[in-house]
Amino acid sequence: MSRRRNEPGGPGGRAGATAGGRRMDAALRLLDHQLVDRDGRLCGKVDDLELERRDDGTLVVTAILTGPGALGPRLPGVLGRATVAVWRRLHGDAEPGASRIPFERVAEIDSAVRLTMSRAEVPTHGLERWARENVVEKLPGAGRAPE
Amino acid sequence: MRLNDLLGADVVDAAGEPVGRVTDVRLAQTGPVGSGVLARFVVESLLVSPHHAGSLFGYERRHDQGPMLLRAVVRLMHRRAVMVRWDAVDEWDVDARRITLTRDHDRHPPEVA
Repeated sequence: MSRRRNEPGGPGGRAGATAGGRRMDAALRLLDHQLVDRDGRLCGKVDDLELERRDDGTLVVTAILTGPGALGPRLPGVLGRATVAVWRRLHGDAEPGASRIPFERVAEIDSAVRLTMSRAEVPTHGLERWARENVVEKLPGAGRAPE
Repeated sequence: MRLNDLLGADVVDAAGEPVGRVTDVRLAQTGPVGSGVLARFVVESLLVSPHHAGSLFGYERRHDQGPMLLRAVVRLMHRRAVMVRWDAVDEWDVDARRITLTRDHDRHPPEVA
């Protein structure tokens, strides 16, 4: 996929409208940072960002991607391919997409990324669900674990 | 598309000469801030370094970040790193992971966000 800047939706959108707003470097300040739900509970990591090209050429962050479906493609070689393969195998959908948190659900970004949603609303991935149902819940005393 | 499609992408000038690879993507907040919800972020600039993928913890952007020896080594490695604005991107080939800059693009020294 390739687009030139003079095409609709092509790159090179004017960023002048952003002057004066808060700025941050995505890889340094967002990638691999902790996700925290509205009750202060940990609910995953920022594994990638979803970007969308608008007609004026700007590239907008539309969602945070989390879980193996987002992390796997970032990992090199066999490790990355194996991560994605296991995630696909354990996922309930035939063509699963990475777990997606719309950016509108982000309340604040400091040392962590704080969400306006509860942990239960964060899309969980197949491996975590499989591990919870087949391993964690079968451990003696698992039902008494605090939230 | 994803941020990961940009990170590590090769950057070339209009003549096809290599500039480097994208090591980070600077985002800028736009629009009104709703109650309890962040305004959207857009891609403002690309940090392009000729040597190494990876942001190296921001040492190449911060003049005051310690320890001094580590800062000196990283800044030496990234001494030719530049920032180019997103509006200086002429073409982005996502599949080939290649970004072509406009003929008249400006390059700026990296600065802390």
